[in-house]
Amino acid sequence: MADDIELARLIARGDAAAFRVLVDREARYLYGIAHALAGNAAEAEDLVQETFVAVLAGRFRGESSLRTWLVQILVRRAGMLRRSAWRRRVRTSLDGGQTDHPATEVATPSQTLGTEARLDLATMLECLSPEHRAVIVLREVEGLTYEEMAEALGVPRGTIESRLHRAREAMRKRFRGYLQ
Amino acid sequence: MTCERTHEIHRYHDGELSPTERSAVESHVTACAECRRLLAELRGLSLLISRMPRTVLPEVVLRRLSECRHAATDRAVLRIAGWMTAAAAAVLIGALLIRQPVVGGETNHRPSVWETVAVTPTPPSEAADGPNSELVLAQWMADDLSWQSSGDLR
Repeated sequence: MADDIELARLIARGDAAAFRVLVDREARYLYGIAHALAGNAAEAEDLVQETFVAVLAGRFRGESSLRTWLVQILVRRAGMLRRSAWRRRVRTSLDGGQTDHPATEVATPSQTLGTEARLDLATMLECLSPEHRAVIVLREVEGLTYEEMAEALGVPRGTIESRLHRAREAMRKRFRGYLQ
Repeated sequence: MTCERTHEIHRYHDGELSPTERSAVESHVTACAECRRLLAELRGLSLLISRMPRTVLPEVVLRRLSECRHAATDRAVLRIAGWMTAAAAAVLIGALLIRQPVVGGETNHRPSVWETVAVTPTPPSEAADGPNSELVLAQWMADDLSWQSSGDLR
């Protein structure tokens, strides 16, 4: 933790080498989460870049590890980005229009992508709200514990559990055909 | 879901239970078909996600991220310049609004001396030497001609 604080302090003071150390250490990890949350490379890169820029602004206080703090920023920004897209989709659905992946529809391998085709994570996460998407990525992709997720997302452990259960329920309903 | 222990199944699946709690859940699962099915589906879901290809950070993106420090600094400078321009514009507009009376609108502005003088009609005696002297001369000529016309008629 002390190393994290020192690294963040050097970066905030404009130390280019310290910034490169941080990018080399955390960029791959953050990009994996960002790509899963955003669903495409361009938005993932923007999200990671904005997350690193927050360190430049010197806002890290050392209340958690630097990685947890970065994930917190990344998930929050991804949520803001996706929430507007999610609301648009729900509104379209309520107006009687077609959404890309109606939550009630059950996807099976032969129905959507062909039996030999593999689902991609972005497609699977499309049926989830930004909050549910975040817990699935942090738990199922990154393997964080409930406590770590609670810290990263800044919500109580009970909220994490409830979001995780609801998100899995939605995915189980939609992708039951793949779970056999 | 009708079984009340589904939350425990999720915790069991995520490795969030103590050994004692784990044993209790394992006993329950052997007896409860619903929880057995839930556990199987949770495992299927985790397996499905774990088999998906992981996104790899391209080297070119890593390089761009290493350099985003400069871009951020440039953006900050531009943002500050933008704020300063907006502030200067606001001060200028404010100054103009204070100095200028509202045209055509209701205002409590009291006219200054030069404004009063400018709109007050000039008395005829003063007008002869003033800027309206041509007008007075024209009026005099008109009166004279009309007098001559009436004399001719007589």
